[in-house]
Amino acid sequence: MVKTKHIIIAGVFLAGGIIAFFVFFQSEEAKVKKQFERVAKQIEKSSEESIVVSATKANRIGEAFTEICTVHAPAYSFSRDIPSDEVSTLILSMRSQYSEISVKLYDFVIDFPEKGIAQAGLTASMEGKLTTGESTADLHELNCRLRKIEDIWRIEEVEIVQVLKK
Amino acid sequence: MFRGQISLKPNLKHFLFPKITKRYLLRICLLAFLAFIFFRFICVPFRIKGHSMEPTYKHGGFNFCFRLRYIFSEPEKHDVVAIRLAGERVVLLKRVVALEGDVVEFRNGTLFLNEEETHETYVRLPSSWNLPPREVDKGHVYVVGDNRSVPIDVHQFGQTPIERIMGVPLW
Repeated sequence: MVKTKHIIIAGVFLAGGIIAFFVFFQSEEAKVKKQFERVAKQIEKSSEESIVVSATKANRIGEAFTEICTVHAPAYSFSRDIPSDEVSTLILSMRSQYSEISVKLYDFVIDFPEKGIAQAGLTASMEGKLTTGESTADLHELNCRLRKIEDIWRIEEVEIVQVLKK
Repeated sequence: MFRGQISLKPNLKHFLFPKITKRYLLRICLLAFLAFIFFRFICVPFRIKGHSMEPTYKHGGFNFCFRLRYIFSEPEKHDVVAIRLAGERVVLLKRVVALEGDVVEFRNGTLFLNEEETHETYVRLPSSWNLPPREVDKGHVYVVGDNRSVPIDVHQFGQTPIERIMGVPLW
């Protein structure tokens, strides 16, 4: 009986240890993934969202980027260095055209080519409803470079991969 | 019981509630493993989202992506293919309309290949697309959705490397 009791206690401690490990010692890969999920959540919009919430979300999105973020979109012949506060303004103006936005991220491939730098590949799907009532759906492959600044992974470069070249 | 008649009752009971033996568990594990291999690497189930392949494939439809289709062959014109993006969880479903070296052009909704008009039976919705001629690069195929009723700027189409082709829908 004593033996069984000891085994149960040891099991509980082991399970607690494993949970604590995953809660407190997140891998760098998980942190990068979480940063993208955070950005996706800030981009998302519900029909009841107020202007104040929209502005707060746009500001938070800006915090996920480095001071200057480079955006390449060869399909649209677009390549520009954008300051993080301008990223917020751009996203705020994009969000204002929609009444609803839903963002889903899939197929993360994360690599760390050097210390403090992460290279992430992913598929982003954005579905939305414009204020005019029209529904939209966009699907893109993204290649991003992130830099770890003050223990936060910030997006430094975004490339919208041209999967189909017209 | 008549002579020659087989009683199904014990067999059915044995089938529905088998004795959990070592051999039975091994068989279950083997079956689960084979099902995993089959549905993960050979016939991957997927749901169709979007209207770009209508009317051939409707939004909300279900299908399987057969991944072994191009092991010993190359994609051909009019094949419907699944094109992977960053990974394999989300793919694009499109139709191959031209192969490497072909010159693709749209004139008022009609596809021209190497300056010859092509009759596409799978395109049922009216289109008014216009696209200047362009040559398909080596190692690429040109893919377009069957639904050309949407504006040309909105529709995702164009040339893609053959390596991006993951397989074909099973039906």
